[in-house]
Amino acid sequence: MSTDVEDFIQQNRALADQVEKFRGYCETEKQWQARREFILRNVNDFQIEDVDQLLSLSMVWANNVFMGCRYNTQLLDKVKEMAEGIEVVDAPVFKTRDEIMKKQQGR
Amino acid sequence: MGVPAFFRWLSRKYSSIIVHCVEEKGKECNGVRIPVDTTKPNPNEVEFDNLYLDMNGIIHPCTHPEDKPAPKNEDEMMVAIFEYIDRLFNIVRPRRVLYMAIDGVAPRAKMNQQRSRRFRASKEGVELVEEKNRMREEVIQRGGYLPPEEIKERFDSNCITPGTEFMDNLAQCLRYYVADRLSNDPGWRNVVVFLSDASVPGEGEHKIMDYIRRQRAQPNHDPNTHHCLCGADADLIMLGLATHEPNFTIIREEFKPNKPRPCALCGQIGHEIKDCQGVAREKQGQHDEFADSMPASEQEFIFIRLCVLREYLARELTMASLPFPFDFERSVDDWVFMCFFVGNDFLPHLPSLEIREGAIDRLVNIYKDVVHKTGGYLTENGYVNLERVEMIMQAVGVAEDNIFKKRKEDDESFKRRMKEKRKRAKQAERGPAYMTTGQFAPQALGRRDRPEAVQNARHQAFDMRMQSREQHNKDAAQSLKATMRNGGNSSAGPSDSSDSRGVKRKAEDSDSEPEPEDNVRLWEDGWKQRYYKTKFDVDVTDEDFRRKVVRSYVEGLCWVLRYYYQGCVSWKWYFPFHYAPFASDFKDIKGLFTEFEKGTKPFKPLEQLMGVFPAASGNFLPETWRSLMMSPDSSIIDFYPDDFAIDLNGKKYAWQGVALLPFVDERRLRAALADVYPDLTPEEVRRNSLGSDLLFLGKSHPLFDFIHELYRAESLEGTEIPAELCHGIQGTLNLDDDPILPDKAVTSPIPMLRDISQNSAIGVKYKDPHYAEDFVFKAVLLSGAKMPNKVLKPGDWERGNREPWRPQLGFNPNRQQAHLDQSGFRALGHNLNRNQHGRGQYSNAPPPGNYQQGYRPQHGGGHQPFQHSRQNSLLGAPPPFQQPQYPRPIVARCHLRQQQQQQYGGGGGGHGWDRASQSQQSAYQQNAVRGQGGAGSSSYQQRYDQRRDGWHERRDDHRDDRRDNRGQHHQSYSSSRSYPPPPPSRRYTWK
Repeated sequence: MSTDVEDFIQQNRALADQVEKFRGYCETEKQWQARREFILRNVNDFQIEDVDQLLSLSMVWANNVFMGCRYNTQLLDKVKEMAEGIEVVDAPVFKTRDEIMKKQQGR
Repeated sequence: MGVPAFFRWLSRKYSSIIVHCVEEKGKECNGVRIPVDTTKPNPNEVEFDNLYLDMNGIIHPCTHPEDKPAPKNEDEMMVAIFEYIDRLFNIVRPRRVLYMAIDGVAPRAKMNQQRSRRFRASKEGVELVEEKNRMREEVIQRGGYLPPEEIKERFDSNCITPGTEFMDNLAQCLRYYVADRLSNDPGWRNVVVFLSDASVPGEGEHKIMDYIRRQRAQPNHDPNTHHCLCGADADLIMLGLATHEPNFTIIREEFKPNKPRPCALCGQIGHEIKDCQGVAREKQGQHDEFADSMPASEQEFIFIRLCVLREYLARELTMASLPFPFDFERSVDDWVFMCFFVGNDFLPHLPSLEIREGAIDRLVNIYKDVVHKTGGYLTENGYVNLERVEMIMQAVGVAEDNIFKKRKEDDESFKRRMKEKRKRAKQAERGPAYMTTGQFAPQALGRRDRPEAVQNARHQAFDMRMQSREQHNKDAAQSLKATMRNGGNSSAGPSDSSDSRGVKRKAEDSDSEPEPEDNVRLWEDGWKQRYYKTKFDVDVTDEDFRRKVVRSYVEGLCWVLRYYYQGCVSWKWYFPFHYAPFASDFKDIKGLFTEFEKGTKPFKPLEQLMGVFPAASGNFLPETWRSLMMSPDSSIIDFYPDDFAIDLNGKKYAWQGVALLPFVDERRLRAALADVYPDLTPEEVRRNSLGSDLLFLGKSHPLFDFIHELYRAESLEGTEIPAELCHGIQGTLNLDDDPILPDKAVTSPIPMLRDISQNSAIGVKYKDPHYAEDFVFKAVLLSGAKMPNKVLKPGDWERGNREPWRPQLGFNPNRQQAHLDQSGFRALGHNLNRNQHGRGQYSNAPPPGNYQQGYRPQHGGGHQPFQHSRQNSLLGAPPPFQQPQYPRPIVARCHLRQQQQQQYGGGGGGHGWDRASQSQQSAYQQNAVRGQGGAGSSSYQQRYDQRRDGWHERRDDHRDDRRDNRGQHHQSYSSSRSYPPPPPSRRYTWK
């Protein structure tokens, strides 16, 4: 985790606590830290009533990185832009269903 | 439970639980179908009281069948469903209750599985259409023929989910169907019909279980009700055991692996879509009369008798010298619980427990080992004792390492065997290295054209020699050329044709299946670490996370068991991971679970649709709801990925792998839907509301007047069913808003079916008996329950030194033995003979299916045989009169018998022996045959003699020539008690 995120959390304790509630039960520490950074980086661009949309986008990004989900390119580009600067070490690699099917068909 | 292997394992290990269904088929007379009278006794020699239908197991095969062309439209689907139910009703013939349960909204715990199925189904559907179009193009370009594309919409099987219009229509259609049968089918006259459609929450089979549980907990329940539950899921077996009802039978379609499926493109059988050639269809039968019949016959049904399974389990689980009294019923519950470890719909199975590797046997052994120390059973009434479960888990954990290693070994040796098998198959295909030719060429045995005597043998041998030398030279030249072309770097060994083959074989071998890559390598040290890293993306040192997974799994085990024994305890709970922990991780689990959240509510149907559908199935939802699945601004867009990863998890095909789909955040889903709820039309609001079970019955049912009176009195509050009017069935009745009432016509929702003008059925809302929230349903046998007769052979049978054990094949222990008639004997003798002497020259006679041809009336006496023999030979049997040319004194008798069998077994020979006996000097042959026959068939023979006369009577009209000889005939046969009617041969007279 980059230091500026830590600084940000130090300075915005209340907000950070708020965000902590959004952690999913099954999220690992590694995934949550990345997603929390995503949320914190973009939280100022969203109205408080639109926070679900931010959460949704954070999940789109996390699902893509940590679970291998694909969404339409427009959406993916958007979240990648929002996630710029977040470092994920050792992200897992996946094969999506389409890729597997294509490979099996090729045979 | 999503474990197909479970049923296979069970039916192999406990084979006597299966009984094949006897199904009486409807007859047809002058094109009019005569329905079967189901008021008659059940031909299965058992009477069932209640039939429960898990309707989703019926809806799926009827709407998108795998083994026949799909129905063209929704109406045809409905009719197919009606026919399927009719068929089941005819087989089972319930006398009291027919309960139809369609899956309603499922508990959250099931949602992950539903999601993964529907996301996959949607993709598979699209892929099939794409492939179809591609192949169609290709075939047509090649000039192939394909039937014109039907103008039918692809049926999206995802619409079989509560809340869709399709399910709503289905409910309507079933109401019509029930009213029709109650009014018109005498077999339904006294049956109470329950219909629990998709608007009632709960999975179908669990709604049925709820019904049974709540009936048997009330005092009026008949403890000897015979239940019959229809459905193919293996978990029905668990559910049935969990009821502790002594008479519980499951009926399902017989599973036949590798059934041929029609090609999706041209509808023909015998190839898959990717091999479709677009060749015109071949005529089926001489005049295409078999065009519509599948080569494999209609799917048949089997019964699974749970009382027999209980007998087996009693043998396996009974333990002597326990520190506490042994209670079989409790041990059954523990067995059910342990089966959950191996797989269920709600939890991924433990990595070390594979059903195919005998996981259940292993668990049972561990259980019997450990139970001495646990001081009691693992479960009670569906509540789990975690302390004791931990001991089981730890015992499994100890073995885990070895299980994984052994799995790898087995896997490797299996692959090796398969490889060798392929190699052998290829070799066999290639044939021998040298083959004689010309007159010496090998000839198939039993062909019509028999080999001539060899002429000029030496010249022939010379020819063959020359030929092979020439071939040798050619091969040598070829291999030389090949060597030169390849730059001469291969050592041109002995010129031998296997050279070229060798190259080819290598190429074929290399295209064998590529290994799915496996980073976990459970068989190597450090497996646990790798597993957690790859599957959960955490370090093995992350105790907290591992603990979380274990806690969820423990909760899951408690939830599932409770679900089976008490009903859905929490609609909200679910297992929030894609993988299970290891058995060895279950440490100190006692405190991990206390109680579930109370008062949870199921989703509404449309909400659940949002939870399980991919965006591609959004057409089943209102427009603004659909846009939540697609718009980038949606606050739940993350639930709907276009494509998702599949972890093959050591398996080969995508459909076997784990679909890594994100979990639904219930809070966010509800929040997003709150905004679009106002957009629902009144019709959609209705579809989204919770419905009620319905009860129907016909005019002659004792409860009919009571219900009719309720409608007349317009009583508004719920009324209890008087137990004495309905076999002790209890529940609360409420008036239906749009009821089915007698003498009120029921309009048909299906254009091709008529309205019911003379309706005599009545329908009313029904509610299961109510119990306090903390009521615990007892998992025990009820007092007054009579155990059914034992079926299995007692272990001490031999010691009793009684008569030989006769296994029971059906439901009735005193079943009347079936007897073969004459033609049956011929068939049997023919086939048995064939098996014993399979190598014989005469073993390729036509199969018994051809008998009918023999019934062509044939007149005349002694000359007839010639014509007859020609028939024989046309059908592939050799003309027997050549036989005497090769005298074989030693084998004569055996040979003779074969030949006799042949004659009456072969196509035209249906009456050969019969006729021949007139003119036969049969003494020698009969003696010969008698000498051969075994002893066993004497009783059949006697019966045969008694019946024989009647048999002839019927045929005498066009068989005058036979009548004269009946006396002689009879005599000669009854004298040979040891073998079925012997067939005197005609060969001596035929010269």
